[in-house]
Amino acid sequence: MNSSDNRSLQAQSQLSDQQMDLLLRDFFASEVPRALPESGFSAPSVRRVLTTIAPAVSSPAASLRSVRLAAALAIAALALCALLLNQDAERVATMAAKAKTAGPEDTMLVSPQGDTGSRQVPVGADGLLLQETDQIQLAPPR
Amino acid sequence: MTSSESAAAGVPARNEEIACFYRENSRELWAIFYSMCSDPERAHDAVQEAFVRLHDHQGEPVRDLRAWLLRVGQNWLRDVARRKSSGCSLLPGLDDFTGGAVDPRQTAELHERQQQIRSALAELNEDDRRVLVMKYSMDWSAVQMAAVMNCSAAAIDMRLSRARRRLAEILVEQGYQHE
Repeated sequence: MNSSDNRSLQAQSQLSDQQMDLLLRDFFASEVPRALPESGFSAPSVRRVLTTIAPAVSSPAASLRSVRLAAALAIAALALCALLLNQDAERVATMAAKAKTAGPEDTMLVSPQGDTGSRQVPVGADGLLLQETDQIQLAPPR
Repeated sequence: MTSSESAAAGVPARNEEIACFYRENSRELWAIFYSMCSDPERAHDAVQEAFVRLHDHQGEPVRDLRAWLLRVGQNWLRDVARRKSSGCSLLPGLDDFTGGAVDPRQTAELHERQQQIRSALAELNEDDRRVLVMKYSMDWSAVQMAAVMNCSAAAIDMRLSRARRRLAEILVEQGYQHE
């Protein structure tokens, strides 16, 4: 078979523009899913108008659940704060009680300002002054 | 009306907006996805996936629906291509064999021809493939396609003619037997 025969065969097998048009119409008639609706056409000038879709919202039941959950968490947080405050108050009260019940062995005959040498500051519960303690005779006079 | 009540009242309106947009634009989206993957079912799945995600979307309001849906669908197609699913594809119309409604041999021949044309389309460059898909799947005119593709109607006509000629050459090379 010579080259001219090859070219002739090739020309015969070429699909014309009209044949291609028909082939493609038939092809896409089967290719496009039937479930797709027939398409309209909207020009880009129409499409460029912003089409805004709001986000999906959760269902009312889900909203109620989330409100309840938030309330429960708030109550739990308040309870925890109250517990912490209570513990703190107890500690303060314990320290204050300790200071009140201190015995004579815990008392030192010094003024509240420490051993400043001042003789005018009471050192006793009855208002006894430091200078007066000097005059207390521990042994009876002979 | 509380805020939750007003939000709930807006749900049907939102769904209707999405449904309306689906009716008007899903075919075009399918055509674009098809020109990407040359698989009609996968392109359809990409359309469905994009609209499902739009329905479930809870982030910022979507301002450009078409661009958003295109992006979601294209990303989905790329993910599917990366996963390289090896599931076999069934012949179309297989379910119709029951009761002898369809000739199995005819169905198989139709499927083979479809597959040949599909693979030939896949060999075209994306712009050529896209004009063919838009013209023959949506029956758009050159003027309509020019508006979307931002070029002149004459350029679209030239591209269509060239795409058909190139497709014909590929089909002949592949030994396609036309009726």
